[in-house]
Amino acid sequence: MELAVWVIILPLLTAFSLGISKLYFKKIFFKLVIGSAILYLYLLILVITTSYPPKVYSIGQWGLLGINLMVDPLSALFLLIIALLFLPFIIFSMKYTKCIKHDYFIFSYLMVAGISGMVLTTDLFNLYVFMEVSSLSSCALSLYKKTDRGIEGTFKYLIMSTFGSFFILLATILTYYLTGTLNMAEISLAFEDTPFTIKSTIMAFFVFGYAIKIGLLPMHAWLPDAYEDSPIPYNVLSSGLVMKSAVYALIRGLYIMFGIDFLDESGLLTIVVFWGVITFITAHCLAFQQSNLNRLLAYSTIAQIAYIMIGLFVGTEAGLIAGSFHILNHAIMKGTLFFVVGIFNYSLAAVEIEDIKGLGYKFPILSFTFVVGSLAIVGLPPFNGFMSKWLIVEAALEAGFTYAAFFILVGTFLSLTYYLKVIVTLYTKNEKPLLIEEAGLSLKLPTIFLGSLCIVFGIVPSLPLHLITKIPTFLLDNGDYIRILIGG
Amino acid sequence: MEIAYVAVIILFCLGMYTIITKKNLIKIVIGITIVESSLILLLMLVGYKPGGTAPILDKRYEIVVDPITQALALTTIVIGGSVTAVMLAMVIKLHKRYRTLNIDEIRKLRG
Amino acid sequence: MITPGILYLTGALLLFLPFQDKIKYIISFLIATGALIVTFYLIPGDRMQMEFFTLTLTPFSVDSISKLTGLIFAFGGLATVIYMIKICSPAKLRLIFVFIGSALTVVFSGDLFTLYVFWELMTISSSFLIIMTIDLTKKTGYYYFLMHVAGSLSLLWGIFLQYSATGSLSLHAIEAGVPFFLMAIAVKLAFVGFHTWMPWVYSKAPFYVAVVLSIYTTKVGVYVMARVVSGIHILAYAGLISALFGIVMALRQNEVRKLLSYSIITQVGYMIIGISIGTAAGISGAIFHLVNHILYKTVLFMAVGFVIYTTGKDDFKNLGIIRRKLPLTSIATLVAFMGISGVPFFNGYMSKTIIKDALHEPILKLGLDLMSFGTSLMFLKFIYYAFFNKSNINFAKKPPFSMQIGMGFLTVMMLLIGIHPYLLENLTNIHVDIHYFDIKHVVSGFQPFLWSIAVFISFKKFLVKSYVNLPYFDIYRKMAKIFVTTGYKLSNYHDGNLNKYLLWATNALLILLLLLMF
Repeated sequence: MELAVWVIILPLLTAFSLGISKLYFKKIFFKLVIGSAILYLYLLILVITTSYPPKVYSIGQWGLLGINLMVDPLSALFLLIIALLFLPFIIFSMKYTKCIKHDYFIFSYLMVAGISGMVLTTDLFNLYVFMEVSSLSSCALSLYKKTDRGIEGTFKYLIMSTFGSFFILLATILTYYLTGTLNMAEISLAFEDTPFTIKSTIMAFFVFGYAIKIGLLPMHAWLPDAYEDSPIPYNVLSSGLVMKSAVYALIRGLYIMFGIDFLDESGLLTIVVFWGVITFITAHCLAFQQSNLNRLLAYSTIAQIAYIMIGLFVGTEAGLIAGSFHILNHAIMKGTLFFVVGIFNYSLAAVEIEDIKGLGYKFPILSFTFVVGSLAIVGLPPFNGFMSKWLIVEAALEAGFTYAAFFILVGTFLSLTYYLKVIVTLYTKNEKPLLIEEAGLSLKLPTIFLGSLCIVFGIVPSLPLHLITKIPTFLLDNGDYIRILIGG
Repeated sequence: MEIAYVAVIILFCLGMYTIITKKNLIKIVIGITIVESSLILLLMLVGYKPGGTAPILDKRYEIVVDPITQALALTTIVIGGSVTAVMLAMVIKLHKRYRTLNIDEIRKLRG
Repeated sequence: MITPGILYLTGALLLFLPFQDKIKYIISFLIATGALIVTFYLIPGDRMQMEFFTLTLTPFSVDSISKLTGLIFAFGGLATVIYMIKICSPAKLRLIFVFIGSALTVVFSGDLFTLYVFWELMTISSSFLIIMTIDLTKKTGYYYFLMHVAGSLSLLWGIFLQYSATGSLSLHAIEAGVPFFLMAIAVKLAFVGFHTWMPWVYSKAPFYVAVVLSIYTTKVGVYVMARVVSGIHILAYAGLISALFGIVMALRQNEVRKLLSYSIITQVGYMIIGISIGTAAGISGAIFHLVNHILYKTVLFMAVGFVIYTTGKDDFKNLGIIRRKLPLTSIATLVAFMGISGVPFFNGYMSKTIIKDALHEPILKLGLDLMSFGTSLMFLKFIYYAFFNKSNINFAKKPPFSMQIGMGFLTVMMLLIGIHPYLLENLTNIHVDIHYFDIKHVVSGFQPFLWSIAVFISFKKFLVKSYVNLPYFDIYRKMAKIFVTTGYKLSNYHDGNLNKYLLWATNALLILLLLLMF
């Protein structure tokens, strides 16, 4: 039982001991950072391999009253993303963050603790607390550069995110008021005879709160602002994990507590699919206008998460598999792209698209990685993005959302327009002499690792799908999940 | 009882109104704290039972209020406090950089 | 099983290894030869099946049509690899290998998924070839990539429709989503209206890139059309219109390679007509024409390549160097010219005759004659500049010997097919019951050619002059402009006003509540 608990405790503990070592033992600080990350990776792999069949861990002797952790395939997927991104993130940040790094690592460990808590817990309020932990530390990280734009963007991010949190908290309180419990399984049982209107109101609050954190259409504006002047390795974790954890919380909450039948009945599935279509079309239009690479990638993140939402909310088994696969793939692809942009930023302080002109000939391998990442995210074969998009379109067609499937292909075309703009700039000859600070191996290695994953998961998609295909079992039929949770 | 729920709703709407319409950074943060207090009040009300005492498990007290909401309220207060602290810190920084507290003038990020 | 496509793709991977340039050249030569040999010994009926996540795929299946197409693709691959082995850097050679490999895989693919993946891979590799090699403007590559991806997405959508309607991905005549398949194919084979990328790219790209692109891009479109949407009669007229459009445009061009690309549109028109007839004779005629067209069009592009390589430009005036300094090229050009004009005893005659024989509608027959006439007319312009116009252009650079070998290969092949048309039939066991050299066919083969010579001589001064460029209208640019202005307007709404953002959020909440509660 201890293993799953340690997934949360280890980063928390590391964060605190990093704080202490910053004050008293500065010498071992970085050894601690790296050592803990490696240990964490090992721990995550152990937990992921034991994720099927799902297991419940009760903390303390409280049974259902206390906090229960549960590792099911969906949580395991998120743990897998943490496992894939966190160590590269740490290695990359070691070199990338030039000045004071101590706070940076403390906050990143806190953030990961929050996210791993979110994906493991089965308690609604606990979920809220962990979400606040991760979003606050995420704000602290995004603030890290302390530039005008960075602070402004983070302020807007924090206000919007808190605004969303209020509605999540409100919905949580109302749920507790109605059911008298915070355990998701018990809520689900107690919800069965709640009036339709009240249930759907609560659901609307949940959806709205998380939609702000996910960045669906009218609530997306904070995201590019927050990304514009934040440390770029943070953006990797943010788009790969922080936003995805909101997606996780949303689908976990909706599918387990309300159940797929209610989602269908209340029309939420149709609404979210339509919402997703509007979101990604708009985001693609906006992304084309951007001259700042970070903003461009941020808008692309909005669009990609809209694809994920469509996949997850068509309400079929295939859709859930497709959406979950795209969650993983997007984390990898966006990680690759942000890492490459991060290296360009590190080497010659490039932020605009114009700044990277001609770098294709200076950094052949990195540019190739960028090309791979962007083609993958556009959704061209034979990369991983294509596989998950294929699955999403197939699922949408199967579930009868023909328009969504069609617009996903249109969106693919639109996303190519701006990624190709960057690629073409990358391979345009530049006469200007460039001042280049050589990027070390510690920057290149994580980038190339993620880039090669894009190709590997594209050619051998059965590798992650092995895990992912088990996800719908415990979401579509929430009975299984509830039985396991209550029984354990 | 009912009047307390009305108070919650009024506070919540007031706070939302403040956040959405006010231009001053400090006022926005104040709005956020108002919403937060309304939610804490709601939490207390949810667990409240008329005539109940503090949740101490003892045979002398027959009616106790729900202990869970009390714990939740405490946690919420802590979270709210830290969020407000971070926000205020950022307001100070913003004021230093932009020499203003008007949100309309803090608009370097566009597009 | 070793398939020719995989052979090329492994070749591309091998070229990544840090060998010396010389070894890389040897490797690429061996791979190209090997692919040709492997293709030659393929037996129609071979299949390979595999499981790929939820799908059962047939990435490899051979029949006589695909074998013939594959054979000419592999042959063209060998010739071009020899042709440009000295000129082209290993980085570009890699992309070219990926391109050829995916084209060959498309030809031998037995299901729509493999077809789509490698179709897209062709697009990607060729676009990067263009993007990496054109230094003047990257817009060409951008345009090409977007256009082709639009086409392939249309293909993908068609595949999805077909898949959800029938539940199978196997490659045969499709039932659902025909318009989308047609659109994808139209972009690939540069049908009129979808052709805008072609003259632009082929005239801007370096000559060896244009040679490679001209062999595979449009022909893959033709092959796939023969596979999935053969026998739609109305398309024959569309092909005719496309071909006539190609002739009119080609006659107006001032650049040699633009003329060549518009002539591709015309030639593809023949194949469209052949495929649309739908009979076995029509389709095999189209595929034979594809073979012949690859042979002579590649030789013409290669000849222009010689001109560009030796003089640096591809003006019509520079063509004079062919007669003055390049004897082998002169022969090859003449043979290719005879072939493309459909003169009897040269290779184009054979396939044109088959298609003509398969036709029964008089309008189309007339159109076919008109197309032959136009084709030879436009190439007379080429020949005029190459052989009869006085010019005093001199070498800037001597062409390497390898280029000449590559071209020589194709020329010999053309002559063989021209003199002994049954060669192709015997090679692949596709038999068309035609006597190529009886009086009726020969006379009708000569007619358009002679007419065109007469017309050319009498209207020479209208044909041989430099034209004013037509006012440029491109509907795709207009569409792009709409996209950009919409995005600009949207982006103006994001003016950093936090209150506005919060207001949007609140509105979204209200809408959500309204939608969900009722």
